[in-house]
Amino acid sequence: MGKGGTGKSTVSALLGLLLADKAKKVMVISLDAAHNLSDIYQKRLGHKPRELRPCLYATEIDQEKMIQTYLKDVQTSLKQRYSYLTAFNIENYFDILKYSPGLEEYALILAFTNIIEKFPNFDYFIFDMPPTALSLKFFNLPFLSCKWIEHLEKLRCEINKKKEIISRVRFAGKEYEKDKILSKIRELKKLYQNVGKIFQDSSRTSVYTVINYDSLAVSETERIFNELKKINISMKKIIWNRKRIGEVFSETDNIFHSVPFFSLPFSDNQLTGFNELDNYIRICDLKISDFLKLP
Amino acid sequence: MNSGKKKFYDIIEKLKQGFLSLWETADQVAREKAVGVIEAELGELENIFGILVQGAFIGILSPPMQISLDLLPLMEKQVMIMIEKIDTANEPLSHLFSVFDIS
Repeated sequence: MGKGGTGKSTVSALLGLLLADKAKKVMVISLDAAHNLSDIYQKRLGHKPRELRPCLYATEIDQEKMIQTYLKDVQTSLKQRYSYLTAFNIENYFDILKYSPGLEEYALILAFTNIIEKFPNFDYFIFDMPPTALSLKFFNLPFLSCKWIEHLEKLRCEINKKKEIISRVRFAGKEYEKDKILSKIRELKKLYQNVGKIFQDSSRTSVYTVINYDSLAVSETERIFNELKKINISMKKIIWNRKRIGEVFSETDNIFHSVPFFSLPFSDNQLTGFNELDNYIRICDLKISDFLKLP
Repeated sequence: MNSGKKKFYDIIEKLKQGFLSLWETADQVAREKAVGVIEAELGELENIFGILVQGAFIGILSPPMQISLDLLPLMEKQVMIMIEKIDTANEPLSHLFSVFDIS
């Protein structure tokens, strides 16, 4: 995570290389609509993961495609279940629905769940996140959705209780039809709870914040730290990217006392292509243990 | 004598049928009254549920869009209720009076 332009994609790319070198099967996934991963690896990347090196795979998620596929599935379902006229009236809304607030972060959640379900044999997934605002919405979405779902579930149960009373009185206790809406609500609840658990489980999810040191970056990192703390997600490390020789953080920047950090030196060379990336790793003596502890 | 007895049993049978019919009618009326108010409540709850989940389509705050869309294919009935409610929206009191049988 981090502000735009801090080097999140480069750090993701480097981490991918380090893990692959240790024979860990890793996929680097770009969730940022302004994709840079293909420029950094200098390989064409698409919606389908591609093997770049032994154990190293990468993909750039097409957010718009995810939203369109999702809306198309809903429309298909509507046409199958609704009477012609009702479906016809509602269909007119779908052209503008893709611009609805909330669908962008939901597309990222869909991408996230698709990836971890479709590729269970990978050791690591590195998600190159979009800039801070959207990333925070992404992390918040399962918990916010759960709150709504619980409220709707409660109301739906109340409706079903009334239906049961009517059925007992009017139809002498004949069982009424199973409530498909309640079943769907419970299915959605399970999905969001599972995603939320993955985010909160520090053994499964590690959040790294990439910064280029300045006062604005420090303030933003503190905000990210506090926002993630509200939903019980811990920040694993701060990666101080493009650190220049002699640069030190201010003692008043408390965030550096709360969260472990390490720095990546500034490079005069453009870090694009495998040669440059491997060179940088060698010159800086970068190790996987700088980022995480391997099991 | 036999025909007298037969007539008597016929009358008893007719009376029995009459009472049974009366009983069934009374039972039905009582059941209808018992559920009438609950059904009106149910209608309102379904309406509230529809508004909560699909309120964006009638200009009201709604849950995250993906929850509305995920449930939309299962909610034709609720959407129809909301459309019907528009007809009685101008006369909510007369609708309420009719539910409670106030004339």
